[in-house]
Amino acid sequence: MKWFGKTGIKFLTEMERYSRQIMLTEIGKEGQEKLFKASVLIVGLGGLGSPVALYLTGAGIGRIGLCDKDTVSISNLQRQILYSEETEGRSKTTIASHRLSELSSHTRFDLWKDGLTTENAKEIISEYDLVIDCTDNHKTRYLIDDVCFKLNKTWIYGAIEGFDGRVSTFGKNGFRYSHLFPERESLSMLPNAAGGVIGPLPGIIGSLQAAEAIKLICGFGNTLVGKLLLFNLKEITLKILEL
Amino acid sequence: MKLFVNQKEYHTDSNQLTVEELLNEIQSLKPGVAVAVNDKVVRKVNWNSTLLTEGDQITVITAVCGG
Repeated sequence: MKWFGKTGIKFLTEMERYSRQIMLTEIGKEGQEKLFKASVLIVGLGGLGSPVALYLTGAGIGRIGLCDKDTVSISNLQRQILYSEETEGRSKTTIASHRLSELSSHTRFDLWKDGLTTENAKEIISEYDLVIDCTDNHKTRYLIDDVCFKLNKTWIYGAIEGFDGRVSTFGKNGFRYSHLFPERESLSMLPNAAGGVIGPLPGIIGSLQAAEAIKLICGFGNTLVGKLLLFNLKEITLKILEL
Repeated sequence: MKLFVNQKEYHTDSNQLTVEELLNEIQSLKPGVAVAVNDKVVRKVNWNSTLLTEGDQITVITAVCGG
């Protein structure tokens, strides 16, 4: 359904869906229009990607790219809230797009089933306004850093391990992820993350990433541009470093 | 000299210590480590030229990759 035209929001009834965010002066109708027109790529549909995709679909982002090559496994269900028991073994992009389409028919979903690779990264990333890093490995994170730098794109970094979570926004002030961790080769050789974690941690960090995306798109509040947020769930500590 | 490393007091004999020397002392000079002094990240290229002073708050973090 095409529901916003040249003159703005077309159907008042559809306004109701977003009324609780439109009533914020920081968003309003103008911010909502920006969300409708925005395109966001989510790289990785696991613990972080699940809440990011759900909240951004809920917020009315116009187009979302879902990028992941994995299938759903039973050990995902403890924290990857897009999936359910009956989806075990199926493609994450397919299941995620079904689940998200149930939530909203206003968002268009692109499915990138090969995941992000050195071969396809430039082509995929160039199609979006904003990239959200929800990957589970260093190699893909460095690839996002490289391609976003070349294409002058903003990306929202998120990573978790144990009880620690990190969030930042790169691509707007010249400070790159590879400036923070320059040992690309040795880190890229490490296996994908498979350590212990409780579900709420990616829930919190993914929610921070989704909020950061909404703030960047609508243009309000303090963002994490030039800052690195460190969160520890065990100790309940939050620290923000300047980059 | 008294420093704080990840919010814990740390005493060092030297009064002239770089970020790199501190990391070496606390066995954190390894790949995937980032450092902030008084909440400002010091890039690795500047570790051997950044001198620490009494009371500095040093944050040492490691690269995590889970998602």
